[in-house]
Amino acid sequence: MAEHVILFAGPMGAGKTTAIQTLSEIPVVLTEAKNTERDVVDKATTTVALDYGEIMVSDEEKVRLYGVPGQRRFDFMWDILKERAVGMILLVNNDAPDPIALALEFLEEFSELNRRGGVVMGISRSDVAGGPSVDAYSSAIRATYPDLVVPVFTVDTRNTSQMRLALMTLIMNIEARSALSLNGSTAA
Amino acid sequence: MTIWPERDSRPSTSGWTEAAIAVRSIMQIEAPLLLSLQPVGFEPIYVDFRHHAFEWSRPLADFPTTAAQVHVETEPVPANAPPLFELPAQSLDNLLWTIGLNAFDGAPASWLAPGDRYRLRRWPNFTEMDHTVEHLQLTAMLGQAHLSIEELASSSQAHYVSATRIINAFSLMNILHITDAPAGPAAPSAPAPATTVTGLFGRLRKRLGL
Amino acid sequence: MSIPAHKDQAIIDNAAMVLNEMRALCKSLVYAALLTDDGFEVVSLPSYQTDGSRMASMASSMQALSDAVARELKMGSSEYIIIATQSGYVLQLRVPSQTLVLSALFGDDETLGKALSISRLSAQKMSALMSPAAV
Repeated sequence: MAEHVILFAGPMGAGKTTAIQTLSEIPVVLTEAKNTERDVVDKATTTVALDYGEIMVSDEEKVRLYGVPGQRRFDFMWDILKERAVGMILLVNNDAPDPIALALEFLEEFSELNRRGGVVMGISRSDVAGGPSVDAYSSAIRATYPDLVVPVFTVDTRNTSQMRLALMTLIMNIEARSALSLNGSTAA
Repeated sequence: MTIWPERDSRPSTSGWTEAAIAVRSIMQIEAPLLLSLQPVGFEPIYVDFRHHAFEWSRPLADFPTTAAQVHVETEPVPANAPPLFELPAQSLDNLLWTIGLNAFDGAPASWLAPGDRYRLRRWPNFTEMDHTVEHLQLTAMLGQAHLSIEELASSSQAHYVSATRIINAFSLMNILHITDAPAGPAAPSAPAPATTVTGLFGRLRKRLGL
Repeated sequence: MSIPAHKDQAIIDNAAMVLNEMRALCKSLVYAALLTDDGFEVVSLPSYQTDGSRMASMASSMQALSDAVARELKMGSSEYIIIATQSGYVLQLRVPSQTLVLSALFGDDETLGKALSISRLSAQKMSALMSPAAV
């Protein structure tokens, strides 16, 4: 069976688990534990290993959706899963303290995927007032990675069509980069 | 909301092409301006460039794509004056996208030059903009390399007019880097594989019914 | 909001006592820790071999994954985890009725049965110390 692994990464509380639940065609395998850091993010539970969901493309092909924990103390899970992934949806909640810095941190952590054009960014909770604009994220990313154009969308991780847009954009972006490379050149 | 001042001078009238030209000219000027665009038979669309926002009493889905005449009025405004309407209102990107797609009747915008090559500087926020799968495909290609309209159409297996319309829209939104340099190494010399059909994108699209 | 276990001095003191007793009972114990479900170390026995905080996070992930496997296979709850290596065993199990996990590393000179027995007793003791009746 052909398999394509897509990661969902980002800080705690960004909506990774919800996003996978929105997209998955199977009940999502969760590894939640009671959150003892309610002062950091006010959530009852947090992912401590991975979330797992699937989309069956056909009987012989599936897309595997893996959500990694957001806290850096679980970065060994990032290392395990990033090796297997073709792309990543980076989710950042716009009401986090300094969300742009968080976004850049995660892009650096997953830089190999980013260099292959395999990252789409979703900004969750953008309806909360006071957070950076989409353009602010794009500008910051461009300043750090001038040769890469990372799609940045506002998303509601509960919204199926928006999460499908993020996923389809990710796949389209990877294939576009690959298509230009296939013609005997490397993307400028 | 600020009441639009009555003016003694006769406003210019134009279809979306001339409206696009007017908007483009305004965006080249650094002075803060307010803009009113009124398709004949519709309420005016108000634009406050200081906040990159617009307001219209109708949803953008009602946009009259074939408006023969559009009244265009501009009004200088102090930079620190209150917003023309209650913010955040709607992102100006959505309006510019819609105008840009529908202006110039499928021909390159008047400010574009033959020999230009284009590359995306940032993606538009498609979750808040009406778009097609073809738009995604064209945008993805534009994010990878500097391409002429012909190269963009060829590499995306899209119609030349589709490629032209999106270049018009993105240039109006000011999210393109434009160069007149000759083709770089990434410029495709032959059509890319039809990823919308045979690649994972195509298969997943079919599976999800998109 | 209650104090998290890894910041509650009474729990930390009890946990230290339990681990010290564990070591007294079993000379082959190389390393042991009590950790919260979400990967914070409450207390550990000193060990040159490991970064305690990293081990706590890894143990938390392993516990959650084993729980998920047991759930997926509809086999009830995961009772304990064993990682058998050339140098010994890592044993891991939940503290009954608490959101704590006991993780212990035994040398290869210990039998698996005794390691498991001591680990279970220690987890039960920790549970008893944390019960409302004991507080």
